[in-house]
Amino acid sequence: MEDRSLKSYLLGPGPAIALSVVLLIASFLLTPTAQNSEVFGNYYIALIIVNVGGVVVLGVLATLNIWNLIRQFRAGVLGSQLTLRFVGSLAILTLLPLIIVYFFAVNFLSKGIDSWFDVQIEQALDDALLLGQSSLETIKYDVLEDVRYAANRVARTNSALGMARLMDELREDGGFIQISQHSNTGRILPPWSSGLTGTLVPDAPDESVLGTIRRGLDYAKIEPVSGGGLQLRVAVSIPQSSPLRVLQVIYPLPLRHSRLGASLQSATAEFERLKFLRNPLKINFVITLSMVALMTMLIALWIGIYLSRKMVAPLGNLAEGTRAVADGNYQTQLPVMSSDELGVLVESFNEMTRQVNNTQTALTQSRQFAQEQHGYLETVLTHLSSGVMSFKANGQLRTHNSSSDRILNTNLDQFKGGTLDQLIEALPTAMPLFTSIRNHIAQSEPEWSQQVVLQSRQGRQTLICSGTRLPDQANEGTGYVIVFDDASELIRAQRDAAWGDVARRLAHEIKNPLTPIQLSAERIRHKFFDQIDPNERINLDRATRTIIEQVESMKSLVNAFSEYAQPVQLKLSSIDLHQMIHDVLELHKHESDQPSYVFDFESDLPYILADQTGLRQILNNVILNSRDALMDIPDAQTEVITYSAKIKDRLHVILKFVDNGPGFPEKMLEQIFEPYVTTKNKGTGLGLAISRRLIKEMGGEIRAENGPLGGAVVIIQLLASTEKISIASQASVGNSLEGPTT
Amino acid sequence: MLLSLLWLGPQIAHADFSVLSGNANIDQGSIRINAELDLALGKDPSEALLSGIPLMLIVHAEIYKLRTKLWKHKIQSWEYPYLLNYHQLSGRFSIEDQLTGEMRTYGTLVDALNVLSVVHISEKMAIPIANDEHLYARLKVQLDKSNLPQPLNLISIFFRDWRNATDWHRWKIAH
Repeated sequence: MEDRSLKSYLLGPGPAIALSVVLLIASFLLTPTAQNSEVFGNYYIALIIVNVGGVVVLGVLATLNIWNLIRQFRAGVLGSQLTLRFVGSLAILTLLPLIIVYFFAVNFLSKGIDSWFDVQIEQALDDALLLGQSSLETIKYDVLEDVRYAANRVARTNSALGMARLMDELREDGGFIQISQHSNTGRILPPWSSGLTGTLVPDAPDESVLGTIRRGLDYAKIEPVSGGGLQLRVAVSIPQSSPLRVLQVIYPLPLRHSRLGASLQSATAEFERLKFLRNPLKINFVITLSMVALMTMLIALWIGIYLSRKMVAPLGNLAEGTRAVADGNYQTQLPVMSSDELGVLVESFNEMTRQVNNTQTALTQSRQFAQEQHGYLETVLTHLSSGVMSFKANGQLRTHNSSSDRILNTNLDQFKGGTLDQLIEALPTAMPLFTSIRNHIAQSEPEWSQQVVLQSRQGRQTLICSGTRLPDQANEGTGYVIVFDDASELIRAQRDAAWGDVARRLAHEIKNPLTPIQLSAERIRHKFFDQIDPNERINLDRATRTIIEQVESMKSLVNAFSEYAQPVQLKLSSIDLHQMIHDVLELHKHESDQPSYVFDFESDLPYILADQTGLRQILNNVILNSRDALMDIPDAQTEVITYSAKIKDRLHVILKFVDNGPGFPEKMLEQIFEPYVTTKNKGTGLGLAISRRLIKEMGGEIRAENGPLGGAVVIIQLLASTEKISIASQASVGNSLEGPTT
Repeated sequence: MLLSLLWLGPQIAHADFSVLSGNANIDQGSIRINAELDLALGKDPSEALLSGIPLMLIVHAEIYKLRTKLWKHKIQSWEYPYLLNYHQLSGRFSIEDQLTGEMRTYGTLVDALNVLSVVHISEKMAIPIANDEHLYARLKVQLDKSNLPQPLNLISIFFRDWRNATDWHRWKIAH
C-alpha cells in the first residue's frame, strides 16, 4: 500500500511541478552564464549538471508514465486507450512546433554569432596591426643603426674606465634604458649602464638572442613589458671581438607609440579572442538551448500525460461502471470529480444505477418470494401421498412429485420433458394412466376424473386420477395438472370389509338354524328309526346322516367365515422364521403325498416381527395349498427360500415357496387372495385371504405369481425384528434349523 | 550533445604535460627541487593562446612525510602560477611570474615552454626537518582551466586537448 502511494506520489503532479520550477530557474540562469556573464559564470557547470540531472529525472518520470499507460493499454484498462491517444495528440502538437523553433533558434544563433565578426573589421584590424608593426620597424631600424655605431665605438675602446664612461655616454645619447656587454653565452661583461634606478643586474639576452648573434645576424625585437608598455631589445656583435662579445641595448619606445601600440594590441587581442571563442560560444548556446528545449518538451509531455489522465479519468470510470453494470453489479457508484458536463454525466449514471439497483432489489425479493412459494409448494407436493404431475399443452412432462414415482414404481425424473407418447412407450405398466391423460388433453377437457386400473407384477393397481387445465401460461400454452391416488388398498379394504360383513351375516343367519337342523335330524332318526320298516331304515339312516354331515360341513364353513370376519388380534414378537418353518413342516411330515422340500436359507437371517400363532396359520395354509396343488405331480418338490433385503429403508425378510406344480391360473392371479377364490374342489377359499389379512396386520406383504418355468411362487415379505431373541421357547433354534433337509 | 562532446574528446590528438626527471634535497633548512618537464600544448590551447587568451600554468610542489602506504602527512606546499600570453603586435610570447610580477618574452612558444620546463625551486622551510627516510617531495604542473573564458569552461571539461596536467611525481628528499 505504501509502495503504491509512494509510486502514485512520484507519478503525481507534485514532484514534477517542483522539478519543473527548479529547472526553469536553472535554465533562466543558464542563459546569461552561457554568454560569459560575470554574475553566474562560475556556476555554469553546476547549472549544466542541475539541468542535465533534472532532464534525466523528468525523462524518467515521463517514461514511467508512458510505460504505465502502455501497460494499462495492453492490459485493456478502460480509458487507457483514450489517454494514450490524447497524449499522442498533445505530444505531436507540442513537439512539432518545439522542434521547428529549436532548429530555427540554433540556426539563428549560429548565423547571428557569425555576423558579429565582420570581415571588414577583421581586415581593418589586421591592417592596423601591420601598420603599427611597420611603424615600429622604422624605429627599430633607426635604433639598430645607433647600436651598430655604438658597437664600433665599444670595439675601439680599450681601457676599463673609458669603457664605463663610453657606456654611460652611449646610453644617454641614444636614450636607451640599458646598455650592456655580454659574452657569447650571455654572461654579463662589466661595465654596463642602466637608466633604471635600483637595477643591480642588467637584463641578460636569452638564448634566442644569442643564437641570432652567433649566426652573424643582428637582433632587434619589440617586446612588451609588464605594465603595458613596449620596449625594443637590440643586440649586435661587437666588431673584431674575440671571443665574440655582444652589445645589448634596451630602448623604450616613445610614450605615444607605446600607448598606440597598447591600444592596437588590446583591440586586436580582444577581436581574436572573441573570434576564437565564437565556436565554443555557439556550442554553449546550442547546449543551453537543447537543454531548455528538451526540458520544455519533457515538461509538456508530462503535463500532457497528467491532463489527459485527468480528462479521461471520468470517462474511464464511466466505462468501468458500465462494464460493472453489464456484469450485474448495480450498486456501482462513481465519484463525481467535477461539475462540468462530465460531472453531470457521472451523476446521471449514478442515478441510473441507483434506480436499476432498486428495481433489481425488488425483483430479487419477489423472485425470492416466488422461490419460497415454489419451495413450499414443492414440499407440500413431495409430502403429499397423492401423485401429482404437470404437463405442458403439448403433453410434455414438466414436473412431478415423489409420490408419483412411488405409485408408478418408477423414476419419472428420467422422463422429464418427455411427451406422453414417450411415457406410454417407456412405461407399459402405466400405459392406461398416460393414455387416459393423453386422451383428455387431446380433447382439451378443462377438468376430468377417472379411475384407471394398472396391471403390474405387483398386482392390480387401481388409480383414481383427476386432471385440471391450468390457466394460460405465457409462451408455454395451456398446461395440465394431474393428481392421482392409488386406491387399491382402499378398494381392497372396502372389499374385505364387505366380505367380513357377509361372513358375519352368514355366521349369524346360517349358523343359528344349523344346530336345530342337526338336532332335528338326529331326533327324527332317533324317533322314527325303530318305527319304520326295516327296509326304509337304511334310507332314513342315510338321509339323516347326510343332513348331519352337511350341517357339520356348513358349520365348519360358517366357522371359517366367522373367523375371517372376526377382527384380528395379534401379539407381535421376534420370531426365528427358520425354526417356525421347521416346526410347521414337522407337523406335516407324516402325511402322505407330501412333496419333497428343498431349503435355501440365508445364514444369519434376522428374526422377524410377527404373531406366532398367525404366522403358524399362514405357513400351514401355504404348505397345505402347495401340497394340494402338487397332489398328482410326480417328483413334486417345493423350494423354500429365505433372504433379507432392505425395502424402503427398512430391513425385511423374504420367504419364498416355489413349487414345480401347474401354477396359478392366470385369470385367478389377480383375485387369488380374495375370499372364496380357490382352485380346489373342497376349499373354502378363505385360507389365502386370511393369510393375507394376517400378514397385512403384521406389516408385511404376500403375493403370488407363476415362475418362469411354471409352478406357483408365493412370496411373503415380513418386517425384520431389531431384537435377536424375543421368546424363551425359541432357545433350541440352532438345533432345529439343522433339521430341514431335502 | 554532451554525449557527442564526450565521444569527440578522445578523437582529437592532444599534447600533454609530463615530468621527465627531478630530484629534491634539503640543505641548511632550505628545500631544493629540480625537475625537468615536457610541456607541450595541444592544438586548441595553442590556438587560444595565439588568439589572445592567456593560459595560466601552475606548478604545485609539496613536501610530505609518508606515515603509511595510504597516509601521508603534508608538511608544506607551494604554488607557482605563470601566465603565458601572446603579444600580437610584437609577435612574442610572454611568461609572467604571478608571484613576483616579473615578465620575460620569447620569440616562440617552444622557447617559452622550454623555459617553464626547467623547474628550480628553492624555498626556506617553515619548520626545521630532521633527516627522515620517509620524507618526500612531489611536484605537478597543470593548465589552470578556472581562468579560461566562460565559453571554454564546458569544452575544456570534455575535450582531452584541454586536459593538460602532469600526475604527481615524487622524489625521496636527500639530505
